[in-house]
Amino acid sequence: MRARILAALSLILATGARADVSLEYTVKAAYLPKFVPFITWPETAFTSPTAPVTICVVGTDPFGGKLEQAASGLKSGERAIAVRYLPAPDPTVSCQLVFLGPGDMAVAEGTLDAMKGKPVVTVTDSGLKARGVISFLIEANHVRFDIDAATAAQGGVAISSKLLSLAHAVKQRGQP
Amino acid sequence: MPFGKIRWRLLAGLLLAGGVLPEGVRAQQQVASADIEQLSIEQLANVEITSVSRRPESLAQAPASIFVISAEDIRRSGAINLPEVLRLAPNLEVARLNGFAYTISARGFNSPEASNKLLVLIDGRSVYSPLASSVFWENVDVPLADIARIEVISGPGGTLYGANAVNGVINIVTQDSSQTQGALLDATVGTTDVKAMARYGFTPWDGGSLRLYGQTSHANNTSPVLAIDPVRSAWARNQGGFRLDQKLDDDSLTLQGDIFANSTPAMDVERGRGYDLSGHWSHALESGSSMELQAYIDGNTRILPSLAREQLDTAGLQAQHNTALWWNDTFIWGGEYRHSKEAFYSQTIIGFANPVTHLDVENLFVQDSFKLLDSLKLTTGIKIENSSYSNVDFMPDLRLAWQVADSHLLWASVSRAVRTPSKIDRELQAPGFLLPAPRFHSEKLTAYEAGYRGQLLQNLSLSVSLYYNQYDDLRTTFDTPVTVIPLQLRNGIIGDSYGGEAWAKYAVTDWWRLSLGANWLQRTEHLKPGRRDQTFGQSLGQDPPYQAQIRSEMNPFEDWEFDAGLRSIGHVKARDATTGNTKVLVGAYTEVDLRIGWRATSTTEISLEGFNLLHQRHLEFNDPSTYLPQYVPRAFMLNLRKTL
Repeated sequence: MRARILAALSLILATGARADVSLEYTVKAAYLPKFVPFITWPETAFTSPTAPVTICVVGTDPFGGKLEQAASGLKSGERAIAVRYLPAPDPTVSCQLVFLGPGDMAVAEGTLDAMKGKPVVTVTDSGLKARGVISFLIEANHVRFDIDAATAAQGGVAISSKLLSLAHAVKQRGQP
Repeated sequence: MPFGKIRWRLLAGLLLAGGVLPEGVRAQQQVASADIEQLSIEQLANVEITSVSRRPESLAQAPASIFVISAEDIRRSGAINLPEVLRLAPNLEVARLNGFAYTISARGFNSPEASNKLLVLIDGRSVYSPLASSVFWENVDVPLADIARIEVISGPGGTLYGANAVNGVINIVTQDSSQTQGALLDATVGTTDVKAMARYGFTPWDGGSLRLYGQTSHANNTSPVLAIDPVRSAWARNQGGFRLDQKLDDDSLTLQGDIFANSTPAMDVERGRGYDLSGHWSHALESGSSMELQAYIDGNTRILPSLAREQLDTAGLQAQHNTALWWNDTFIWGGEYRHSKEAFYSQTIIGFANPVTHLDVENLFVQDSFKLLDSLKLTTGIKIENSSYSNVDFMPDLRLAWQVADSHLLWASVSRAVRTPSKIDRELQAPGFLLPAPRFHSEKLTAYEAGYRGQLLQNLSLSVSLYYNQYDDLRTTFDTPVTVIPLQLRNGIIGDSYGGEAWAKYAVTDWWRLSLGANWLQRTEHLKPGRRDQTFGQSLGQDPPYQAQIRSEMNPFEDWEFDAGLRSIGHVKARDATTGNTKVLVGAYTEVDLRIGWRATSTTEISLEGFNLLHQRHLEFNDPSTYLPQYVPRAFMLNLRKTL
């Protein structure tokens, strides 16, 4: 019996199959496009007055299609919300919201540095040590987020007080 | 069955690699996530991402009676130890016996001897004892500040959790060490207890996080009920441990361990020491499914001076694979192997012919959950378990969840669970008085449950669960015709119980929350034909017919918290184990706890707490054959919590 159990366990290790994305990432995917209407970018952040607000997922994609679903049909003012996946930070792509997933820590830190002072809202995943303008966290089994309004302001991005009031913690302008 | 044994929390999502998913899986995701996408940004913050099917699932959709104690609930309860925290769960019975001993059960059978139908897990590691199928709570502790949440499931958890999850599962999940960075000092001084805990969390390298902790506690003597009771049950305990979490691209690893030692310093009544070490690995498979593997070792010694010494060493290995079989289901399967070396050296005539027993448990389980209609979900599974003391046991489970409307869920289930024999059931003997019982077999339960869970108003949530349990082959102490002794343990009682559990959370204003909870229980048992019980149903425990509680949490001013709790427990009426006369063994009681918390600075919190304020002392349990009854005292405590 013992041998059979162990054989079964090794079989589990060898098996690959399909499953769905966890609820945690479903919730995070739902959050991202809903942040957009609360954020005001300077006009210079966009290539044209009708260009969409683009959410870029840099590195590993943890959403498995959920993000497009969550963003589809949503608008921010006159602008549509688009989603792009970038294997690595790409300065030629116009992104207004950049999500840094649970991938490479060094890429995340490098991207955050590169985005400082630019009209881009960086969003970092929970579990990442590096923190963007918006950083997800898990508190008591709920997905929450912190906002660093100071860093956003450096890039000329304004975040509405409504979104700030929903945040778990806020770093205000002027705070070190 | 939708229960969350091995909840490796936030990790699951981290495991998901990119890549193209099959079309069927996309379709499934659209079904599953449609509700989430429509939530407002405010509502998203309220989505519970717990795992009750041993995989992430919204609590609101779990077809089972599950109460979750959050880290915030624990902090605001002011509770000094783990059993006191568990009083928050309306679907548990918690009784304190003396300075160190507690007995805890769900849906009846509460007593140190009878509470053998509850499974307790700490981060996936079972702390259940194969000696008596019970939990020795004095040897179980977790730093309360490290707990992320406790899932308390009442009802059978047989399919995913295996044998002994007959009437419930308590699943304690500690925080990922990345969530406990920095230093924390938590110290309490009170009229009955002194406790101090220190924790330090840091990031030793990229992607890794570590925390270390140490704690020491002392509980005073409790006063005896009987004049002849000499036991001084003051309790001292020291414990330390660590948790290391490492995140990699597709994997996350956790290594955690604890050591402890405890004693009764006022009188040498009981001593204990132990350690545990467990490793957990989660891996994302390319296609998006995930698998989890856990291995642990656990060593535990209990010394009852001049009576006995028990040494239990356990090694366990468990694996689970979460996937999908077709387009709209979730499929979980896995297995477990556990080996225990249970050594019990008795210094009295009651003991074991072979003090050392090697016990094996092995099981396999499968569960599939799929939508029959958009709003109707069926979950079905089976666990097949084999253990050294039983033949193969089958534990099937069928659950139906009907999402009546957005925030209203009705569910129903039928399931079978077993309690496998313990070493005491099979091998305990006293020459001339008690014979071993090599034919003692598993106790069985068929449970029928139904419940409602939902959001009645935006600020009012309600959960109601009803159950009807049919037990078979419960334990009796059988006599020998004519001479009465020697006695022998047998499977000889059948019983029915029915009851319910309900709780509600009501946000009166944005600074005042109320929680209400209650349970009630009715049970009848009788002997099977030809069976007798010389202990008059002692194996059935002592249960109050009802329990009720209300908690109020207020934040009327910034930085101040005013909390109050009231609990009312019905009287315990049972047959006296020696005379067989039915009488009230424990009177009904009502007690009140109060707490005032003040956040003095952003890193310092001070609170003043009063427990059991209505009476100088009260009795919670009375079975002199296990522990001489002692009173639970009123207590005042001052707590300081500082983060650095």
